Amino acid sequence: MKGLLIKDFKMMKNQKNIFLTGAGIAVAVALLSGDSAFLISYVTIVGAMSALGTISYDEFDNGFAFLFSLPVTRKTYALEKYLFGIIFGGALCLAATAVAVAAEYLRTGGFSLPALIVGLTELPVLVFILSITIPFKLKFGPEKSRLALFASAGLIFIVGFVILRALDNGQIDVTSALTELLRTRPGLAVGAAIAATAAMLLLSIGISIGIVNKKEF
Amino acid sequence: MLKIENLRKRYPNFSLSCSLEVERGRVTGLIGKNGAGKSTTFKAILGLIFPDGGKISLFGKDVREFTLADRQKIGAVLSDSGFSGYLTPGDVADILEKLYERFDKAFFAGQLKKSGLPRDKKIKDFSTGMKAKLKVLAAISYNAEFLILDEPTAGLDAIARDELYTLLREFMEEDEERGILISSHFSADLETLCDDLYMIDAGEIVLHEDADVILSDYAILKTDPEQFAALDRQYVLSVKKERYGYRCLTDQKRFYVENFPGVAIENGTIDEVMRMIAKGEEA
Repeated sequence: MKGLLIKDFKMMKNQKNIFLTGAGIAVAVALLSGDSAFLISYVTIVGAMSALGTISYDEFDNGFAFLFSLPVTRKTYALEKYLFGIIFGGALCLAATAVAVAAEYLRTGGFSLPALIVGLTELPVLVFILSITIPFKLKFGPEKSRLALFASAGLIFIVGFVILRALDNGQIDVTSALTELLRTRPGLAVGAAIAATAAMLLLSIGISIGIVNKKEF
Repeated sequence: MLKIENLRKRYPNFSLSCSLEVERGRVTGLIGKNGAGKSTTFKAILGLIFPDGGKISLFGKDVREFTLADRQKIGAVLSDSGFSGYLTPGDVADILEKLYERFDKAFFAGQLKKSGLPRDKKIKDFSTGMKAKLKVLAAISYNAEFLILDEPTAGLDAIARDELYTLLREFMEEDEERGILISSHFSADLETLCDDLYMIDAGEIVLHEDADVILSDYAILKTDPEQFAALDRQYVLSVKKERYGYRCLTDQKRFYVENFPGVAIENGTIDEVMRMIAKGEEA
């Protein structure tokens, strides 16, 4: 695991120019517009996408074959992708939050609680992105996974729409119910959201391990 | 050390059926043209593909039951795969250090220097030869017991190939318990490096012989039609029709030298033997 993590961090390090340019643009936009939510979301998503990009780098030029000839199990490889994504994306998210809070302080002299809240809510979003995308990347490779993701997103949207419509027809207002829950029992709502994210992460890890275990290189 | 028994793997247009063995202290070559099944065999040993049948054991253990500690004893070079091009040799050293308990960082650094490989340049900017050297250097840098080298010299010029073979000889001299399975297009080079050779054609092993025996006992007989008609063909392994008559492969050169002095006899080379076995007709 340690060797794989080092490999991915090294690959990120070797592309630091891209990150520095992206970070510079994000910080400039945040400072000029004062939109800390944009900065944090943008940086977190860039972090998630970059971490996911390491799968493409691993696969490039048939690299998987060599990678799995090293003392690395297929299960460890799949797990490492989640861990690296969470560490790398999480670190960028926290760094962006710190920059947003600092920027707010420089502009107004006050502490920005909303920026901190956005930062914390971005973490489950990061896990969500990784959980959805990693199995697709592993199953379909860098090119086809994009198509598969779009198709799946479309399918989820249609299914969600149909379910909401059905609930609507049954006189159940989901949005109001959720808003009410968040207002009356915020602890339960946050707990449920965290539990749902964790369940999704575990399910995604299980699927990814299954995918890598079946692959031939 | 390595024992492959009746390994089978079927693809839509190709099927492999192979048995071979590598003994400790020996360098065994696997020779065959592109698509003959060399890489498929190597990938099966490394657990990269799932065989349809047969058994592969290494260090006396079924490779399907290998632990990470077992895998640390293998050094692998694959022809079409290696470290990501976005890494540098320096990064590779840091990664290997974490993956292999016995990684010798000083040796690796020394060999990089000796081979003229820059420590901080991305691998994707390396020439084919530099990439090939790096792969082999990495494989011999953690005191592996068994090297599995698929086309390690691809893209190297004659001098670089010599340097690489010297490294492999030194690797074998350091410890007699080590073993190497190597494939190459440059059969002539394998003649001097390998103790024994397997030839694979269309997914099947067609010949297994000691390299010395191939060089000393195998020969090509060039006969005109009359000579061919009169030839005692009990030691002829395969025959190919040519413009001038027939080209015959034998593993009993001395017999023909002594009994058929009129026949032109060429010493066997691995390339020639392989060509005759792959393209000739059975005698």
